[in-house]
Amino acid sequence: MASSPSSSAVKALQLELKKIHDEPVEGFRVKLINDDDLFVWEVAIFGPPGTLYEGGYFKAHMKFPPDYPYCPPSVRFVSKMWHPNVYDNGDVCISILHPPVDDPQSGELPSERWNPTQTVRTVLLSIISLLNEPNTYSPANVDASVMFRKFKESKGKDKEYENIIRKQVIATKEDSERDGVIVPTTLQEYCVSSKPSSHDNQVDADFYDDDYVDDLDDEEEMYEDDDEDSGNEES
Amino acid sequence: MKVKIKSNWTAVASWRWIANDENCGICRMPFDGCCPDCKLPGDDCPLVWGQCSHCFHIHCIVKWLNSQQVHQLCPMCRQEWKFKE
Repeated sequence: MASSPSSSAVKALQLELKKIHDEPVEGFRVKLINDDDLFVWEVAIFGPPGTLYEGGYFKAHMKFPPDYPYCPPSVRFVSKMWHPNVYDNGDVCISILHPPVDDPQSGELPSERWNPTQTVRTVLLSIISLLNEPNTYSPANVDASVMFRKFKESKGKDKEYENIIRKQVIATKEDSERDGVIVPTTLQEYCVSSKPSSHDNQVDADFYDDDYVDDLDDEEEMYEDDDEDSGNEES
Repeated sequence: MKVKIKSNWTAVASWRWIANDENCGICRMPFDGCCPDCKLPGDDCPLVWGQCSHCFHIHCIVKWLNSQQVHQLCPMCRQEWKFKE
């Protein structure tokens, strides 16, 4: 129990990874950088259609602390990002990634911050919505923030900000081609509607020696009998 | 009427927690199982409810509350956490 990293962090991360693979959500893909290390993920965020980021394929690394989910992960973009809430080194500054300590200077309420019910999914969805709606009250990149405000206040006439973003989007093409990923550019493609086939599901469920199925209502019928395994054992 | 049971019978009982969810929102493990630090579900790893009606493994919520110096909020609804009596 006192070992580090804690087994609870390993379990939480295994469950999250499996859930995202079984039921992908729109807007991002995740994988482990190194299959032996659950604590570092590579994530790729698709620029949402209808925004400056449309067609973009932004890669980031997500690192989890040994006491996850009691402490937040950190997210650093590997792709170049000019954004009011992204530091020069790619670190993402968003309240959901900050532990709820008392820091009146930050302007962030404790209620907006990390808590253990947050997940990779909620973090990435927050970052996706942050892309197009930067928070200019506490910028990590002041120059980007000033430029974004000019862009907004001129109602898009001041194109400096837009031009930089568009260039960065184009620059991500190399990565998406290298990874063999076709970036969705329409809302229909962007919103993942497909459910994985039941066959895939079964293979995955067996892989993790943990027969507990938590989404009974989504399935037509469960073929697995949960009564024997309370889900508290892991191989 | 008297009934005599001849062969050996093994009594079996089943139980489950009546919670408003399947899994603990903190450790994400099933409520009918136990938190990752425990071995056996049930009395050793009970559930606990807040006044906001949200429910967690007691070990999970206590671990979270102990790590919070400032505000003790329910991780689900962010209201102040108070144990339901």
